[in-house]
Amino acid sequence: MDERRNRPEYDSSPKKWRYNFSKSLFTFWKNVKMYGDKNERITEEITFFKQVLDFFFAEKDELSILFDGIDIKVDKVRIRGQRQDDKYFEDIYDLFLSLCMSGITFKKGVRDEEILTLLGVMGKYPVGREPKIQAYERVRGDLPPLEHIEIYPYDPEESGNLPIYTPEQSLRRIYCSLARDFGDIRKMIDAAESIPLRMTERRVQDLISIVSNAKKIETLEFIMFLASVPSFEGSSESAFAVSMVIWSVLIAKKLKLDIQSVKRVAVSAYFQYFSKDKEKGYTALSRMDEFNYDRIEAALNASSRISDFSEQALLSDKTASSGTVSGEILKVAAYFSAVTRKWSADSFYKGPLMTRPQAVRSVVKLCSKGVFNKEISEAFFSMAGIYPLGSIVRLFDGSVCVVVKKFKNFFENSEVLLLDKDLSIGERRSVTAENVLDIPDAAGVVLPEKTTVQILNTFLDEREISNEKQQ
Amino acid sequence: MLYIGKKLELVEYFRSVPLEQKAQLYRGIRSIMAMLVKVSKMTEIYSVRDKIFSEFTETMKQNMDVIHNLLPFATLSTKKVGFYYQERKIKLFDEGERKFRNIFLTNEIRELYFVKGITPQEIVDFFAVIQETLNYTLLDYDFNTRLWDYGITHIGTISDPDMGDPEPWEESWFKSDVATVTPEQLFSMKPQNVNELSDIANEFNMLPVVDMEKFSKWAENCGKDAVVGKYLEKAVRSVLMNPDSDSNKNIVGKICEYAVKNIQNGDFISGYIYIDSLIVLEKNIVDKGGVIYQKISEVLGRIRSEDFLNTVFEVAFGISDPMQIESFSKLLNVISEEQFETAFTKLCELDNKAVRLACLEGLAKNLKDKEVVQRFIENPDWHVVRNFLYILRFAYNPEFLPQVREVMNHQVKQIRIEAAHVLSIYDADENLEYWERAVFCPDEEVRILAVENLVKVKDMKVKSIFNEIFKPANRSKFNLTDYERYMDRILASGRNEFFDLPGSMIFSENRELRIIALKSLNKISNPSMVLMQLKRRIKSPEFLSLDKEEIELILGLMKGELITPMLENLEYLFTLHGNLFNKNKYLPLKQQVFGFVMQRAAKNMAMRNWIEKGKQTGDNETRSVFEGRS
Repeated sequence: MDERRNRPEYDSSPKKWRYNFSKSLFTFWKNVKMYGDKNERITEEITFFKQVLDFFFAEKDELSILFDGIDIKVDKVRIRGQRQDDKYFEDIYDLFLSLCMSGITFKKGVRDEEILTLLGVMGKYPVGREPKIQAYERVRGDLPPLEHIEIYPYDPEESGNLPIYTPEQSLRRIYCSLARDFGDIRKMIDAAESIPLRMTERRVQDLISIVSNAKKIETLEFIMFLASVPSFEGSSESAFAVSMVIWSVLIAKKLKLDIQSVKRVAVSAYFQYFSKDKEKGYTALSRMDEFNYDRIEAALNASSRISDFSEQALLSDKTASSGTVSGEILKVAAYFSAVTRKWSADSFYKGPLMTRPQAVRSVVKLCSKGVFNKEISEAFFSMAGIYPLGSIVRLFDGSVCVVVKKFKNFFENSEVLLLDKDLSIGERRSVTAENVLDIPDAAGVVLPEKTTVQILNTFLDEREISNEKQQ
Repeated sequence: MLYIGKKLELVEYFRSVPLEQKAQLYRGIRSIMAMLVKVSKMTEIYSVRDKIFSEFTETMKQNMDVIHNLLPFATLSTKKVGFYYQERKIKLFDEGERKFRNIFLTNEIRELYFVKGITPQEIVDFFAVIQETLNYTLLDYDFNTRLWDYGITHIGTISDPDMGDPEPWEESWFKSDVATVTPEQLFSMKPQNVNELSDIANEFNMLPVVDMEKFSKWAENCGKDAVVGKYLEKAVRSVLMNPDSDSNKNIVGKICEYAVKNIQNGDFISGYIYIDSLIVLEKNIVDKGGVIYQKISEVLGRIRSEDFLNTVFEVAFGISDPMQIESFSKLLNVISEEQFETAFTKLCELDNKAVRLACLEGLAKNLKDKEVVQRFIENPDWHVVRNFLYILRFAYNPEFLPQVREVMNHQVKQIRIEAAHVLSIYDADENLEYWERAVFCPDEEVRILAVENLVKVKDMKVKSIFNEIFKPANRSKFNLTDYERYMDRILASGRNEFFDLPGSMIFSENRELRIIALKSLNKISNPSMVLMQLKRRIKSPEFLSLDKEEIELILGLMKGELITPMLENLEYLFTLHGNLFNKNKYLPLKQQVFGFVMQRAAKNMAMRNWIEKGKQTGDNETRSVFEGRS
């Protein structure tokens, strides 16, 4: 049978190599267990195992396989039993459980003898036993010190008993995961792999549930502030993609769209402008296992060419999804998220830069010209306010501050965080919009990482902060 | 779709509750899990819409209720080696348990919750989630994602992404690809001019007034179907340009797969969109021998097959959404091109009337064969004949007329009614003799249809038919409601040649008939064609002795061009008086008529003039009425 993973285009797929690693580890261990570490197949096994390790060591210094009582994770990514020949998964579970081990880390430079020693010791003990710490201690005792391999014990008591996140902590996880995945997914689309939509879908669903059930306005403000973060792990593009997701959820919820439509808009928002080549998204679609509405739209959006990401293209009616509800929501979200962000020289957006307040006004103006749908613009404005969260503004007394609460209109009080002379955060002050001035030159300004973290921490409640300090 | 905050609440609650009735709860949870394992095995064979699951749903709900009477939440942990309730392993001696448990393990689920308030629909949807995650593991299905998609709020999970030690924000995460601002730079930046604030405040007034109702309608039309439609348009164009490319072959494969899959899942809207694209492709592919063409023909052939038809009817059993019904009807249309008789027979068995009627209408397009008509008209089952006649309502073809006429006098009432409806779509003149007879049919609905058709007949013979209806000798054959309806139909026809009939009816000796005629005349906006009769009626001595209701109805006709002539003919009331023994005999009549005119006089000059004239020329009694003294 012609397996898709055996085609040349999958040669450099990390997913495939993660599977290869788990399988190779298993067959290697089995071989050593059955025939000892001096049989004729060992050379073949070790060559393949090293080949797998080398793939990961090209970019990383170490590679781990971890077991948490439920799943196997290779390189911190969960391995799911999806292949036809993956029956060995159950055996790997049993192996780890019997030896009461939670993981092994292989470090760059690992030698053949070290691997053989480890597998030799592991092969000495029977499998299919209840996990007992003595089993791990026996393995530990039998192993000589290994420079490039580390093993970890498994604690049956701790397993599966982790704390549950609060909504704010969950939001942080969602934000970081979406932003981190961006680069990986882009690579997959460029390699014409299918789009791994499930995890994005799941994160978007969680985000929608939090927005739908938010009991405190502060939770929504936290989300809006996250949308203003200019860059994540050195990438404006990934922060932009998450900002698109957040704004599309907020707008769609405000418009009272049904929850499935909100999800569809948000998932497709994430995938807009992923591709360098228009046909890649289309090709990625053809590789999808599931073919539902979300996926079709995501793939359609992934086929929006990055080179089309200019101001003219953003405002034109010729995009793949224009004229549809999601297309029109994305138009507002993409415009606002793009023009308020400073892009690196090699990035794809080359349009004008605006401050957040200027961008809101620009949306209002363009809406009256018919460029944006009026109901969508109104929903956007009612969420963003006059000075959207994250705006850097000046008070009449000369202080510079960051907006951390929505300014609904010019007369009601809202809140800003004053910035000290060294740009660390100072007093939180309540002011009306008529006492606040925009700073046109601050368009796209990026605050130091330390300031951003300080501001983000102000959105967590006391319990969370004390929890995190303990960590 | 349990919200993370709620999950946290549940866990905290559960940990704080002493489980005194642990044994009972354990048994309850165990029976639920045993049933779920059984259900998971059944889903491999049957669709969750199958009736077999109704019993499971009911029992499951009962079991849940028993547990929830003790505790509002039931939770169990899923571990590699089994399900656990409060650290006690749930022993299930069923070989399906491992496979079922695997769903939770592969989906990173640590705990499964059942919250009080669970509905039977949620249980059925939960079965569907189990089916999808268990039987489509090769696809990208995910248990939690599907729970959310189904909107299940009383069953939830705690899985890996919900759990963990909180990691504080790290500064390194916010490293930027552009230089960060320095304090000196930021503090030296000039703010906007204060004067601009007033201009900015005005800019926000430019925000247009929104119309959410209009938006919702637009959103409905431009929602998910529009997106898929756009995609499919693109896909069809791409496939037609290059049918041999691998990605296009894949896409066509997916369109075929999803056309069938969506229908099988009961989503006719989505299914039909895909099928429609396949039909376009089938018609336009130039190289009919190509792989793609073969694939499309094969799938469309399958969709048009009898087997598929059976599946379609199985899933159409419970649909109620009008949009789904419309798509189901379109689908049947496609299928009935080749399977007309089978599709029709299956439709006759469908209990859901709304769906059945919508689909029968859709089927009409494919009814072309006279012999098929003959065959079904002669069917011994009157339900079949009636349903078939319903199709004929929408299948205009004069060739079918003889068969329809044949059943106009059928012994079954429902058939007679349906046949009359069918006959109504044809030229009424050609069927005059049938309508003439139908007027005296025992069925009320048929009689009405007959009158509706007779008013369309050009032949003046029809007038004598109407006269016949209203003849005193035939009154016993009709009830008063009939007469009212006939009158309404005759007047609604707008044909002046018939109007002498209601006109003459206002002189009828039978009060009820007079009232009916007047009521019908009151319903039309311009009753001027009965002016002559009205004038005569007003001046007649009988007018003075009519009861209040009838006078009110006659006065009600005083509108538009009838106002002036009617007022003129009522002027004799100004000086009308009683005799020596009963001087005020006509006072109530005057009060009613003058009162009627006075009420409307504010908006009508002719009435105001008439009142003035009455005051000047009328007798004392008249003046006192106009001046409000009596």
